[in-house]
Amino acid sequence: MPDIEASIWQKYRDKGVLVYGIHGGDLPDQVLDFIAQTGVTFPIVADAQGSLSSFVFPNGVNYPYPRDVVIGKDLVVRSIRNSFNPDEMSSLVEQLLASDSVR
Amino acid sequence: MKLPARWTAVLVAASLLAACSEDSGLAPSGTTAGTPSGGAAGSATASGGGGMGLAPVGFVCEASECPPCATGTRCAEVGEHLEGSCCAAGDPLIPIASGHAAEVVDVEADDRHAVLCGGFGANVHDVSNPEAPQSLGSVSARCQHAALGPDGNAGRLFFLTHHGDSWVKTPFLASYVVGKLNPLDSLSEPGVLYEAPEYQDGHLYVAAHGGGARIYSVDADSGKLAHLATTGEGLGNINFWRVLPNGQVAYALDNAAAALRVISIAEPAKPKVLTTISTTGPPRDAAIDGDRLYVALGGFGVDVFDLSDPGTPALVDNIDTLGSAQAVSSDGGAVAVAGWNHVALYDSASFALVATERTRAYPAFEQDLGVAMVDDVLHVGEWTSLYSFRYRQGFVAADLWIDEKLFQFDPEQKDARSVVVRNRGHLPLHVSSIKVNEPAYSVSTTALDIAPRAADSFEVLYQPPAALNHAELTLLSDDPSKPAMTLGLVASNSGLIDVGDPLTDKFGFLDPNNSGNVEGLKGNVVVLAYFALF
Repeated sequence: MPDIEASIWQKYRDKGVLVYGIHGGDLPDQVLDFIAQTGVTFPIVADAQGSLSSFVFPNGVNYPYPRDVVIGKDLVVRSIRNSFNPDEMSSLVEQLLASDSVR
Repeated sequence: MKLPARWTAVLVAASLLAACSEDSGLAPSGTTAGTPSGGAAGSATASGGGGMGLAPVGFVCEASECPPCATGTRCAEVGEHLEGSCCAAGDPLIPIASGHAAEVVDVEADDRHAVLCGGFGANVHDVSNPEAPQSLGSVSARCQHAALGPDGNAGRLFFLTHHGDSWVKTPFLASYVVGKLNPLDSLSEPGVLYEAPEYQDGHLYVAAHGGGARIYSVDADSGKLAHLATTGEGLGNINFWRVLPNGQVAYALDNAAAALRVISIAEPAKPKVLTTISTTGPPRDAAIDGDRLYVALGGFGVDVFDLSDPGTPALVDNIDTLGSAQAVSSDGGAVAVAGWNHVALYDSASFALVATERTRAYPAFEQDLGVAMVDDVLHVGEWTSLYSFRYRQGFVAADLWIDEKLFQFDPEQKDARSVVVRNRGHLPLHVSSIKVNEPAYSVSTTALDIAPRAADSFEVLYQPPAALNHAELTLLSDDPSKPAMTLGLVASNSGLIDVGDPLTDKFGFLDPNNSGNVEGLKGNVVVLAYFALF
């Protein structure tokens, strides 16, 4: 999460990128306190309906966390990964920002 | 210009190999070793056995008398040495044992004990004989980090922490004695989120995120913890994940600043932040080995700092690791990195990759989150177990690596997937067989030869229908640790959202307009970062 804060949210928040930290189930104070102390500033959302289970598991993975989903401006899913690579995600985000594809 | 780390490593390895071929210093076959130019007298203890151009079997190498391996300056103690170097052909990383644990997220170990922290508490093992770890019981406290401590009247101390989450409502720092279930002492101070603890000379150094670095005195006999001092909390936007004491100074990993905060602990009751040293990315774990500091940076690899001047760590290199570097440990000439879906060893002199291992073969999927290197033994804290390996310095082998363990296909469509096969080892890789156990699949080749540090690929072709929903692709090779590697091939409609599918209105809860659908997200690039605290 701090990696995404530094390499995605802070770089692209003013360029049309929305980042959501999604926590399964409820959001107890303990989680919010922890997030606040990690320096993460993008919105943290409770996933009461278990939306994570809507996505396929990426190849080679059978554990859900941490999972990052990147969606284009046309709301089509472009990447589902369980290991965060800052260069890879930055490159994809820039490519999607440059795209005119909005359905 | 600073070269990317991967190229630095290649150049180091190449120069070492060149040095070997110019002046091998090896004796003819069947004799003891001679003395290379500039080297000390040989200390051979056995002779005979090697083939033409090979050093003799049983030769005991010394770094000063033997040309280096491609992996660095060390050499194999026994075995049939390869021409032009002291390397021997053989698996550099041998699995030796496994031990019980559950939901492991951290492992701390020395030559006596290993403590594994996880969702079902802490498992403590006697690892004085690493080939046969003995369980010393489990502490039920769900924990995220552990540290080994001193011996006292009650026995050997260890410490556990948890920063709090949905299950652990109250963050805690506790002291335990090996073999006992209940804590000797437990602290829960208001507003303090305890992260990794580290013990040195009667004191415990604990990272506390925005709360800075906290120092506690430890009574070795009673296990009593007493808060002495805190530092760093006034720096502003900080996020300390670990505080590593190193004599008179300590290094706080500041994840928010992507930096090390160097702290004077000459007087533990009066700590003081001395300076800030930038890291290549946000640090999450670190280890000290001699005058080196290794800092794991997730997707940014591992930074290596020289500690010749402990108060001013100097960045030496950045190891470009595979995947996300979750944890790091170093001892005995090797740097171990837990990379979530694998564990990797790097030579601490050259930073060259020595070995890549998966702790669990397909159909299992591993999560390697913790590592502890103790001399030549590597303990891996995998989500389900403790896995231990023995590192054999100077042994080199082919090392077959494929990123994926599973390939998925639409059951109704003819399709193909490219399988990239890497040889991450130091000897040529020969893949002698590539086969699938389901006739709906075929492969574009049945054999590959891949040079060290090179890659090749082949196609898996799917022609529906498949009789088996779940088929297996098996590669046979001369990688000594993975002579048979199996991957999964699945052709089934999951009904789930995959890459290329549209986001559904189930995600309407993200809509900034609260419209209940996803229309309000349109026109933005959206990143969903699913997380859990454990």
